[in-house]
Amino acid sequence: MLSGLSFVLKPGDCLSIKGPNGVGKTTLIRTLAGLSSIAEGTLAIPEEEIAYVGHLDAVNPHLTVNENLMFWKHMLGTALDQETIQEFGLLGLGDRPAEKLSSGQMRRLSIAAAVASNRRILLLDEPFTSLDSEFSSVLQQKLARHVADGAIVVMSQHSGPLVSGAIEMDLTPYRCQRFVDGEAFGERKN
Amino acid sequence: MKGLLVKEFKLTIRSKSGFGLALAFYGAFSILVPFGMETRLSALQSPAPAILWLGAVLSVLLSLDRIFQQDLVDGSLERLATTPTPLEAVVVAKMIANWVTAGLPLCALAVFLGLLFGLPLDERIWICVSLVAGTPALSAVGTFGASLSLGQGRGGLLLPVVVIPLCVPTLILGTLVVNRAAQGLAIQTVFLIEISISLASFALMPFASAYAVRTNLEYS
Amino acid sequence: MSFWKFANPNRFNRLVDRLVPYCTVLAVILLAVGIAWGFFLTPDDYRQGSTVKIIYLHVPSAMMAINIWIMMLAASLIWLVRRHRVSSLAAKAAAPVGAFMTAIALITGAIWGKTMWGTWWAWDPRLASFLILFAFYLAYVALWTTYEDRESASDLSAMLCLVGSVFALLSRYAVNIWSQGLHQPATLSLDKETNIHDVFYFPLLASIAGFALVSLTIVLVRTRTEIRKRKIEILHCQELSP
Repeated sequence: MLSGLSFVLKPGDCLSIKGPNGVGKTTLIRTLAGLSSIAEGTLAIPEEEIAYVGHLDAVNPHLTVNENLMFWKHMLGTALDQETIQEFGLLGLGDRPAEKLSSGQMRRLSIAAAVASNRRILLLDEPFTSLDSEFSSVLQQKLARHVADGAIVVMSQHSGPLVSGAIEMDLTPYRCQRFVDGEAFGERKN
Repeated sequence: MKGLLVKEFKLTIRSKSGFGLALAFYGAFSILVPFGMETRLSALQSPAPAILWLGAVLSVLLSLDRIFQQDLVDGSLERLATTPTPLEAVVVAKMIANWVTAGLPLCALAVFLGLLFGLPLDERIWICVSLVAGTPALSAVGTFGASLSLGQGRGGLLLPVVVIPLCVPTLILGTLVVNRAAQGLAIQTVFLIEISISLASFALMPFASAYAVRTNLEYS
Repeated sequence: MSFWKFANPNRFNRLVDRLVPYCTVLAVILLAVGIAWGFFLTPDDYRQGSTVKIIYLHVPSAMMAINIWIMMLAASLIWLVRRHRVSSLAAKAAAPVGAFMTAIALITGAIWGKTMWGTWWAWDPRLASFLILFAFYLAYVALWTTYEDRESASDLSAMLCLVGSVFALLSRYAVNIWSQGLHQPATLSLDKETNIHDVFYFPLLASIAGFALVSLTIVLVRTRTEIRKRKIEILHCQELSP
């Protein structure tokens, strides 16, 4: 999917991954999160510092908002930052079943569960999708503050505002179509 | 681990089909079978342990579909795989939850369903005991089957085709315990083997199951 | 030069290309000799009459049914540990052959059982074990068929083969406790003083060697086909990508 890609991020860096659909933005985020493996090369990332938000919300519709937040707090084994919950406009919704939420609220809950964990590395797949302009800027500012505090943010971004100071990276040049063991099967080399 | 279990139990209690569905199926199955047989209770007595055990296997089989489905669809499973909680622990929680919500209630119901087959009390209790000892293995291999067929979506035939052969040793030993106890034969060896299959399945299957979940997530 | 160099699919296919003609010829000769010798040139058993001759099909196919599963287990382990794709494809290619051998063993057994025991089927431990083995073959093939077009198929089916082997063995012991057998003990074994009489023994050996070679040949050819299918898949993917 991707090859020849190499980068180093320091605390306080924000990486915004760009490129057309199907270029491998999601693949890269999933690889960083440890969901997909790399065929060649090395990946050094402190796994215990990761909070991941995929393109699905990871919100259970049969639990309430608070229960969903508490579940992820348990699983991530960290604090639940009340300030974040408030900023994302979830304070009044605590006892509402998640199935009654709008898609925007669902997305906010999904992101808040990860961001409120105070993890040092945030991996976000299209976080601005289905957020309205108000909460887009809330998230934008939140991420900017996080980065200023020395966190690392990596996100794929098709649209939405750019976090200030973010490094933009287009994946198009790194795209390739290869099977893991393609070479052994007599694949032509490009 | 605790958080996972709490979530599973909350969801089961809240869902409309939670405890009820597997139990209702078990009851319906056990009521249906005698209609295909002779009406004399004495004729029903000897196949009763097999029927009650088979009903339990089928009920557990029906409950497997929903073990991972919700978590897969809403993306929770994917996010869980990125947390420090190992997937093996997630799978163990799923196995325990499946056993407590789908397996254990059947064991209690079997004591009463035995009446339909004219079984004496001590034999009904033996059925219950052998189900309690054997159903954990069913939940364990069932969860493994569910994690193999994750990528296939709902309602496929793959799950039963994979799980049924894995249920064979438990089914054989489970019914053997009851039949031997009913005939007054020694059951110690058989019973211990049945229990050890359950314990070993619970101890080892999570690794195989987590491997399958991870593989399915990687290529999803 | 090591065994692992054949993990390279191209090298493996070249080896298969060279081996297949010899294997085929030898397999046909051995099978023809074994079966013709067994069927026409051995005396009838004093008790079983001519029915005894079905062992020239029954025993070899039963042995292959088990051996092919063991080969699949080995191939699956190699795939899980060393990630050689050929190994995984070989396991995939072998499964239907093994299932077929199990079916032959069950059917010939039933025919023999009908004349000797008076019944097509009995719940004897050996018969039951083979039925269970057949179910495991089916499960394995079903898994491959379901995930045919996905990269995860190799891993998932290898894991099923591993777990299935443990449970197949468990079933075998469970079945032994469960039922007293009707089936006679193994026809051949290395540690027994006397096997069956030499008159039956040598044609049986030829027939077993024939079955083994036929299985080997079919598995090799099927593996070669699987490798080619994967190559086509990879080339096709390249055509589609810019």
